[in-house]
Amino acid sequence: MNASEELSPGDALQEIDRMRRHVGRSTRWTGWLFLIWGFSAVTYWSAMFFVPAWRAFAGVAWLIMTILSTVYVYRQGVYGHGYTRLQGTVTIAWVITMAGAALTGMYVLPGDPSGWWIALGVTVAVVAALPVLYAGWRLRPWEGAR
Amino acid sequence: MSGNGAHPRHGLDQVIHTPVRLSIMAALAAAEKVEFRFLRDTIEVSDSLLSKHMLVLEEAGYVKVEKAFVSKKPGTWLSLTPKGRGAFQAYVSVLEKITKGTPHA
Repeated sequence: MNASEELSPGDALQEIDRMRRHVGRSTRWTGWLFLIWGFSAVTYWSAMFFVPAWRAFAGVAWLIMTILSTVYVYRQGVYGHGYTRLQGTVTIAWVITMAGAALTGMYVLPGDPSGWWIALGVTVAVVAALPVLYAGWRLRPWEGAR
Repeated sequence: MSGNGAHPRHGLDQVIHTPVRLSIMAALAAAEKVEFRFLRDTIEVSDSLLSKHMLVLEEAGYVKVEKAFVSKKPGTWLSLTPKGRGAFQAYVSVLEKITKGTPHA
């Protein structure tokens, strides 16, 4: 847009809509990232608890996701409505539930879980993911620019 | 800021109603916080032009400029103030009133 051109009301509305869509596209990624982390956490803990052969792969995948997310967060230049309010609470809850899952895996679950131990392990994996799944749900990236 | 005539266009906030400042306000209205460089690249202006218009909006009390860390990222973060958000909503209402009242706005 030329900074010196005359602005008609129609042009102004078009520009507002264009900006809303453009910025909305960028803010939606934060919500998707939370959801990706949530589903990854369920998969990660399930692998750690029940499939010893996948532990190394899950660990490497987790490390790669952490690096990519850190790069994304560092490059992210826009945050959607509600992000700041969620960020602190979700981070604290995420650290607590992930630590809880790790401690459950180390001290509670048997080496070869079966029966109710599987139910407990799955529950712990889901609970570990809840903070980020909640954040993703609150940001509602599937709804588009709001 | 606005004239005294009866036509809705007189109600257009002249602080917002310029191409660059409109883009800035529209971008900030669509987010909670926007980083200076992201905004500059999004609306395709130079650093100096963006700074100049940001100053006008800041002086009008529409925009808050913070040098802060967000998600551990340092930068100049921009956001609309409640006054700015209200002014932008009022501005959009006037635009809609004009375009609904005139078929070829």
